[in-house]
This record gives sequence, C-alpha cells and structure tokens, in this order.
Amino acid sequence: MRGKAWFLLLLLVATAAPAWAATEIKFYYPVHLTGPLVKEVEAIVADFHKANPNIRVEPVWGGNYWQNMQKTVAALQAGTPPDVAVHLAIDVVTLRDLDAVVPLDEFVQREGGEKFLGDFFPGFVSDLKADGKVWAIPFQRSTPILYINKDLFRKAGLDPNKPPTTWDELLATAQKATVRDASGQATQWGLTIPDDPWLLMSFVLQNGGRTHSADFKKVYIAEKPSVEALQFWADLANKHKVMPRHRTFPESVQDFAAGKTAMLIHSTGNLRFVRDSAKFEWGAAFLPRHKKQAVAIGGAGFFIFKKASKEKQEAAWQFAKFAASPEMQARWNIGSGYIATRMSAFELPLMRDYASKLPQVLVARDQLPYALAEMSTHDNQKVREIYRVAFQEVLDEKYSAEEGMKRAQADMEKVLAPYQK
Amino acid sequence: MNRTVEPEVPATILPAAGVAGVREEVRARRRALAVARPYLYILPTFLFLFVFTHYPILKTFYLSLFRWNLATPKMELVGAANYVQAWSSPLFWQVVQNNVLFALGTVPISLALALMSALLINQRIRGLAIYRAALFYPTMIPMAAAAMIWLWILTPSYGLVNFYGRSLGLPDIHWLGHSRFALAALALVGIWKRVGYYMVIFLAGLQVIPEHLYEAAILEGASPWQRFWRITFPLLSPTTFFVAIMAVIDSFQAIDQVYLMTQGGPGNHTNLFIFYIYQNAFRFFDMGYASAVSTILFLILLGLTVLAFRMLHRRVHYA
Repeated sequence: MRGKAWFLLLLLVATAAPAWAATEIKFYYPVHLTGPLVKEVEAIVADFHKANPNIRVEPVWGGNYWQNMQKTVAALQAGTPPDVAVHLAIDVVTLRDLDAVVPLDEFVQREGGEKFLGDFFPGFVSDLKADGKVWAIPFQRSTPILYINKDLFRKAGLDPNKPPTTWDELLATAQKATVRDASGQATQWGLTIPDDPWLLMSFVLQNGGRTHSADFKKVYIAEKPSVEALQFWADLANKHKVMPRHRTFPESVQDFAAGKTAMLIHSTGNLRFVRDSAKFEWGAAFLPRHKKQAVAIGGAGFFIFKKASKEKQEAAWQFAKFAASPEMQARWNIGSGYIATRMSAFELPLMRDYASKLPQVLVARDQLPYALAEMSTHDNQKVREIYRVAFQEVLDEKYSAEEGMKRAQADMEKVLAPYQK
Repeated sequence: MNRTVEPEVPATILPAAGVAGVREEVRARRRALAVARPYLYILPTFLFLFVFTHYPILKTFYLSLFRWNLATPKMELVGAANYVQAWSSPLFWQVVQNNVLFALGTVPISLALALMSALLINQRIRGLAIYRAALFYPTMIPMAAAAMIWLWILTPSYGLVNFYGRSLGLPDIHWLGHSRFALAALALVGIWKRVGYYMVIFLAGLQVIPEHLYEAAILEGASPWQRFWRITFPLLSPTTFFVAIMAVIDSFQAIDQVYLMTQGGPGNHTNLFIFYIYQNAFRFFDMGYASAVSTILFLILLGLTVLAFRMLHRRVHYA
C-alpha cells in the first residue's frame, strides 16, 4: 500500500517537474463557426510548445465569441482573468471599459513598430486600435463572402462563372434559382443569409451608410442608407420570397452544404467546412455592390490582460506573436478559411499551393481593400442585441424597416446615454 | 472493548463528594451533547444550504439595490431604481407575457398527459416495465442533449418534422425561427421532457388509493368513468395540485432549451425569465438589473411555493 503511494507521489513530482521550470499562461479562445477549429487551435499551441519549451500555454475553449467573453468577464470578477485571450475586435471598447487589458505598443515597438504591423492587412489592425494605441494582435479575421452552388446555377440555366455583382443582379439571380412546389412554396432557396446584424452591416455599407462614430458613442442605424439596406433585405425574404427569413449561422451553412440554397452569404471562416462537406461544385465571390463595393470586417485579436505578471505578459506576447506569424497564419487559413492576417503569409509555398488548388480561398483576401470596420460601441453587447432584435422584428413584419430602426436607434441611445461626456 | 456499563449508583451512598461532582459534570456534558447533537447532524446540510442558497438570495437582493454595469463599473447605491427600470421596460413585460404563455402551454397539457399515462400504466398489463421506461426516459436525458436532438428534428426543409409534414402536404415551417411557433416548439420540448417525471409522481399517488374503494364501487355497479371522477380524481387531488405547482415552477425555470435552441429569438419571442436574467447578468454585465429581476422571480416562485404548501396541507388532512 505504502509503496504504491510513494510511487504515485514520485510520478506526480516527475511529471510536474518540467512545469515548474516553465512560465504557465492561461489562454481563452472561442470557436464561432462550423468546422474542426478546436483542433486547429490546439495544433498551434502544440507547435508553440515545441518552439518554446520554457512556456506552457493552457488553452481553454470558451464556446462562441459571446460565451468566451462571458467567461473572461466572469473570471475578471473572480479576480483570476486569463493571461491571454482571443476576443472580438468590437470588444476592445468593453475590455477597456473594464480596465482589463494592456496596450501592446511596447511589444510592437520591440518587434520593429510600424514595420512589424505593416505586414498585417491594414483593416485588421485599425479596428484593434483605440486612442492611438494597439490593443490586440489580429487573429481569426474574416469578411463575409458569397458562396455559390454551381450545380444549382446550371440547373437554373444560370452561368456558374458569373456570380451576381450588384444588388439587382443578386435579386434576379436569386429569383431564377429559387425552386417552388405546386403550392408556391420554396423547396430550394435562391439565397440564404443568417439574420445577424454583422451581415446586415455589409449591406448598409454598400448603400453608402455608416454604423457608428469613431469615438464609439453614437450609432446611425436610423439613417436613410441603413433603412434602405434593411428594406432591400426584408424584400428578398418577404416580397420576393427568394430567401428564408431567419437562419442562424450554423443552420445557413448546413443548408448550403445540403444543397438547399443556391447562394449563401456567410463568413469566409466557413470555407473549410464547405470544402469538406459540399458534394457539388461550388464557387466564391465578392459580396455584390450597390452604391459602392463594401463589406464589414469580422473577427478578433489576441488581448493580453493587465492582471498577469510581467513575466506572463511577456510569455503571452510570445504566444500571440507566434500564432500571428506568417507560417501559422497560412496554416490557420487553410485549416479554417479565416484570412491569414499577414500579407507575407500568401507568399509562402504552402499557401500558394493551396490557393492554386482552391482559388476560392483568395476571395476574402482580395475583398479586403473594400472592407470596413463593423459596428463597435460602448456596451456593445447590449447595443448589438437591440440591433438583432429590431432586425428580426422587421423581418417578421412587426414593424416597417423605418419604424424598426427608429425604435432601435432610440433604445441604443438610451444605452449609450451614460457615455456621452 | 473494555467499555462497561456504569451501574446507576445513588449519589447518597457514595463515600466522597468529589466523585459525585465528577459524575455530575460528565452527565451535564452528556446532556449538553444530547442537546447539541441534532444541530451537529444538520450542520453540514445547513452550511451547504447557507452557502449555496440562503447567502446567494440575500446577496442578490443586496446587489439589486445597486447600479453596477459597464457604464457604472463602481457600484452605486440606487435603491429601487432597478425595479423601476424593470417595471417600465416593455421587454420585461414581454418576458413576463412569454413566460405566462409558456406556463399556460406546458402545464395543463403535461399534467393531462402525465395523468393519462399514469392511469394506463397503473393497470396490470403485459410489458409494463417497457412502457414505464419508454415514458420515463426523456426525463433521464440531459436537457442539453435533448435540445440538440430537437434542434435537428425541427430543422426547416430536411428536419424530421418538416420532412414528413411536407410529404403529407403540410407547409414547411421553420419552427424555431417563426415568431408565432418558436415558443410553441419550446413548449413541446418541455412537455416531452417533463411528462415522464410527473407521471411517476402521479403513479405514486395512484398507488396509495385503497383498492377496496374500487371493489365497493364495482359492486355498486359504477362505470369506469364514474370510478375515475368519484374516487380517483378526488383522492388524487393533493398529488395533482403538487404536480401542478411543480410544473408551473418548472416552466418559470426553463432556460436550457431557450439557450440552446433559440437564444430568445426571433425578436425576443422566446425570451423567458431565466434567460433574460442570464442575458443581463452575463452578456450585458448589468449585474444590478439582473439581480433585481432575479429577486422578482424569486418572489413569484416563493409565492407559488407557499400557496402550494398551504393547499397541500389542507387537502392532505381532508383526505
């Protein structure tokens, strides 16, 4: 008995010994889209360990973006925040309001400052800046793209190599690709888009609209371009009936993979899932333009937490830098569909090979010059929820687009009132 | 091993008073222990209840008097402001309305189904264990797993319900994405999940009804219908009432299926009490307001529970 206990204790000491020598950091990360992304993140951590035996990263999967944020905030309130975490770019304001994170300028300076940042796509860096400081290193960045089921295009007599490029073409194509049964009910949709504000924002931006002010204190969703964009969207579902009213992120991509919709507007982060599960020929294209070509950027970055010791912050920076390196970013892009955040990643042989076999992977990157920041405000989660609900109520024809957005604007202004100083 | 029973010796015949004093002390200590013993026994339970139930309730009430959110990161005493905010918030009232509708939709139907299955299963039929297990098994599946299964069953176009519904010529309905059907779909899942549990309670109630009453009724020539309404139903009423209150409380505590299946949508049509609290506390970090809504829910449930106990008490004595 006693001998066994000693042996166990010895074993424990032996296995724990390497950990003593290393700096341990806790890393919270989210998975928001469909696909085996947890494995991809764990692979990055494993490679980091190989390259940095003196640092141990403990990855903690926190659910989707919102849930991961809840986890971090709960941990903050308990006084034990993570050392490093991936959170949405639009959570920069909240994390700063909570005084939870540190600016990364010192680290960035050490790596070469603007030269280091210059290799990242500018849109990915700019929405992680506030008050002239850099608050996170870009990771898991995306834009929505237009996915096309080429087989269904052919069946509808459409040219599969000519995806719609304007709102009018989008509607016309969707009308042609919608299949209805004898009772007039759609058995196959022309177009599917998740009813999430992130995707609506792209339409607002294409219509020349704006979503929020640079100081994160004002919103502009009741302005004319925003209302018109919503009207166009609602018409697709309710007037023309070429699109289902409500679909969640996972539902819509599963519908596309099941061949239930000819077109899908969704994050490029789903590209790997589509690649692996679509049993038909598919393509990808830019989002259609209206008054201008535009798209809302999505995604996140690595934040480093204030409460971590200097040593841990340093280790966290090493990890974030590693995960954001061109090699890791290329692999991440291939494994997920999220855009590699570094321009040089696309020059690597690994990425070139992949892109030559699957050119769809470059669509989101090429769309980046037209990409703009998504809505970001103080109390972002409350504001976003108001937007989401109003959007869905308009789709349900509870309110007109104008009335719905007016009400939402008023509710958002109430939430933002305490910040107007 | 060498513990012997001390003979009861009258103190008067003991030679020295000192010995008597020691004995007296031992006895007093024993008496004290006898008094303290029950409290010691319940101490672990009490500690557990205090830490995980009483303290959080008190703390929640305390927090509900403060404004504590992202705009006010330093707690600020505001009295009843959070309650006033709830009272004047259209969304709060929508949540109340949703939850009342949800209760009205789930409680009567699950009670009726549970009672019917209990009556059927209470008879001596072949394969009883199989029926019993079949009706009870949804209770044993974790709600999270059940919600995921129902999510697939209710999927538009190719989900089980719509797939077969369509071949019968029914319209393709996006159950969980429809402003009118989403709450009904959640209620359906709730009913399916709870009926087995209520059935078991009904079954226990049925089994304590004395057999001779039925024998007498049969001799008198009472029809099965009369036997149910004149014997079973009245004698089962304490159980029925208990189950009804349980079901109402359950319907106010539903969150799993909301969280996993609709996230309160579309457009807050399935936003129920606990989800609303969760949303405010952990998504919006509005702790003061969430605490106020929690306190309101606590009072509602407390009221229902007191009502249940009062009625139950009276009925049991009557029976």
